[in-house]
Amino acid sequence: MKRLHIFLFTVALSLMATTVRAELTIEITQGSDDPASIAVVPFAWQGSGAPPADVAEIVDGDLARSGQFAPVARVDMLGRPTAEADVFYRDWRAINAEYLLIGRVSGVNPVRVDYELYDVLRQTRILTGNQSGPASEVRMVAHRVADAVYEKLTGVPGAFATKLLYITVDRKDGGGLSRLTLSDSDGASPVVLLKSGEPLLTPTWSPDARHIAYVSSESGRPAIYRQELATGKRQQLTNFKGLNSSPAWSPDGRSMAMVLSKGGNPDIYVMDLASGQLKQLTRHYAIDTEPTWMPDGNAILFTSDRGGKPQIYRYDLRSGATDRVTFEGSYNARPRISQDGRSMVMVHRQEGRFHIALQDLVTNRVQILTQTDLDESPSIAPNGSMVLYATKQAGRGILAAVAVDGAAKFSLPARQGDVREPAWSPYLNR
Amino acid sequence: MPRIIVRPALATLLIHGLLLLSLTLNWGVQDREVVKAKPAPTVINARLVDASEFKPKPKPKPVTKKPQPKPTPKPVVKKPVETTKPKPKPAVVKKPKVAAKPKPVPMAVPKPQPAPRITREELARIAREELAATAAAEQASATGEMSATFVALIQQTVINYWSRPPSARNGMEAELAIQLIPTGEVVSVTIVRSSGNSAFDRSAVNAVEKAGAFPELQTLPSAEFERTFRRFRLLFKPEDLRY
Amino acid sequence: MMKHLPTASKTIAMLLCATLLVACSGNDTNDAEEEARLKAEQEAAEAARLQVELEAANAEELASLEEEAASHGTIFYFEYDSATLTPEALDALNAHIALLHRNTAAVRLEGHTDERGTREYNLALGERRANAVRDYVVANGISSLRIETVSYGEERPVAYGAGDSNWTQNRRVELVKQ
Repeated sequence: MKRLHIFLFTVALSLMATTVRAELTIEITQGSDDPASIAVVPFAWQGSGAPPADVAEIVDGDLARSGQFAPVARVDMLGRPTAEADVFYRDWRAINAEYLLIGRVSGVNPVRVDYELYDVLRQTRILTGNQSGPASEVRMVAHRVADAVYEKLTGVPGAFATKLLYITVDRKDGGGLSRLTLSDSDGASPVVLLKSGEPLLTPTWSPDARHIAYVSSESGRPAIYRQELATGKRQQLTNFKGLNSSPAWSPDGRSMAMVLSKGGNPDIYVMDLASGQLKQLTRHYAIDTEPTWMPDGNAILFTSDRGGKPQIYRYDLRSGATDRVTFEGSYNARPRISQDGRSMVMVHRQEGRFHIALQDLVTNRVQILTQTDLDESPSIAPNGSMVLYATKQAGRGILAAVAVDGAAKFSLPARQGDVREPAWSPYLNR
Repeated sequence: MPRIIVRPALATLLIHGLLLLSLTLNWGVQDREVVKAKPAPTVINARLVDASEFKPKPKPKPVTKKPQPKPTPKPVVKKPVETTKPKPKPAVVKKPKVAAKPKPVPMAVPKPQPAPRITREELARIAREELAATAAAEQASATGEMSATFVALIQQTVINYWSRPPSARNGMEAELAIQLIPTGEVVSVTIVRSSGNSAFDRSAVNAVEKAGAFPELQTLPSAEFERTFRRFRLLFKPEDLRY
Repeated sequence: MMKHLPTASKTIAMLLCATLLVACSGNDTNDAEEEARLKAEQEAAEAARLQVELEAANAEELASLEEEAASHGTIFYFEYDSATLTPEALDALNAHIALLHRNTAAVRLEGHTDERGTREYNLALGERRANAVRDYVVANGISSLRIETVSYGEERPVAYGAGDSNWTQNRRVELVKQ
């Protein structure tokens, strides 16, 4: 009997030993969000003659400006692989690179770029692809490569292969020469679309990026013009007494919101572009201006000083109701909405200084994004990641950008004269 | 069958059966110990300020550090205080984000930087060292407390290396199974439950890969290491994102 | 002898005498007419002189009104974020209104703002300022058909750069003769 007891005791003991095996799970609920280190190795040029462009440099610049990536400097690269066989992960591990992008450029016209993206830590290839295009658009081809890499690593489509509209003004006594300019998203390849001795304002894009609209005072008073990008053909859309300004295309491209003061004071109207018919939305003796559409097309946000000072209001197109949206600060104006309808950027005055701020339309929390002063005209990238805006530096107008989470900042290369009124294009021909 | 064999045979079968059962049953589920992330102490770079340092303002402002329910941050708090990531809590969200890393920014933002600043990496290193020191000091006392400190150390380190992609959202969850060896080195990282977002999953894995090792665990008694840290899970579940 | 003449002859004699008298007095009437004519000429000359004097006085008044208006300038300034006419602006406008009552000129009012704030809102604020000036002028009897308003917002500053001294100069409505 005693042996049996010993047996049972041993069994019980061993059972206890195996049941007390708890597995620890540690929750990680915060991060530090440092930019990921990526090495973009200069791409090999496999054609003859001079290479069309430094594709790797364009991609590198795009990724750096997004604030999500910290590209490795070329001087720090221990090797310059251009094909998979030449990739040695330890070279990249040694300099703490997390990702590696290599590629080859070939062809004269069209030009073609082949690329591979590697996860250095996991030692695997995670993306293979190629992009082609006319030689004259080689920069756009490079931007599309950057878009693909960005999307793979962030889960968000890239917005590098896009365009910008903006206005430059050369100061002259009594007036100035205004130029409506089109450029790449990094400011390269500027093209002047219109020159005028009278003020130009509020350039804006149609949803299909084939047309633009703007306000021009060339006829003696502000009027709205529409222009087809491919042909340059213009059409004056309005010619009413008083103000004709602040054009904004509806998301479905069929209507345009605008500000007309023919009724005695500036109000928001919507024009059906096919018929030219006008519908008046606001009827208030205050200034109602700067309309912008919600992405679902069901509401228009605008600036109004009906409460005494400029604040942002929402006009619901279905119910006709108008509600106030901004309650922080004594000056909120010029709203623009991200494509997911959740974030609104605006000009927000605090302690006498004008900043770009972001208001979450669900929680209504307001976050100031910029530390520069006299900021205006915010424009959101089509993927919602960056906000481009106009500001002053050393007394001159320049364009700057800030990441929506406020972390990254950069400014566009300085141009001749004052630069202002940026408008980021929608995605182009995806 | 002789009775003298039956009883011992039955007893043997019973004992072996119980043993086998205890070894193969997944006791783990009920016994998983989930350690919620205690909010890692926010490490900040602060400097005691003197009222005389302030530039003359048009309206003189009181130099008191109020708690931040108001949307307007006082210039007092803005200048010298820099928070390291992890990001500050919602009450402080209205502060303009000061770039913590010295990045090559071409913006001429005229903010005079107070002299000697500790970089964020150094701060993280110091925090980690302090935790390791605490753990070593606790060696004498209950191993439970020591483990807790090492858990905090692992948490802190992973947080430090975790860079969330823009598509990450609060509530996404990725669970990783981690295997260490007694030197503290990470020898295996596997995704046991995906968040559904590959960029999110990759960011979690990379956070651990970048950390690479927790050599401080070498001071842990072997039994404790085996019990708690040879295999454990990391649950990446952000709560501090804007949405 | 008279008693011997018949009555008819007496009448004829009287008539003859009367005619003689009338003929004699014919010289006096011419004088009177002459006098009246002279008088009329004198009055006409007087009137013409008065007319010239009046026109001179008018021109002088006009000139003094123009001078008065000019002395106030053709630019009316505003406070920050405001389209309310200041006392100085009202004084200046009164002078211009007085002048406009006297002449037939048409004017254009150009509204401007300083650079702070958003451009489209400032375009509307500039218009509001120009309208404030127009409304005051019209309320004081000048036909609105003579007044045109346009806004330049912040696009045509007279003073570039930040700071109150520049901004103050830009918040204005300019009166331009057409």
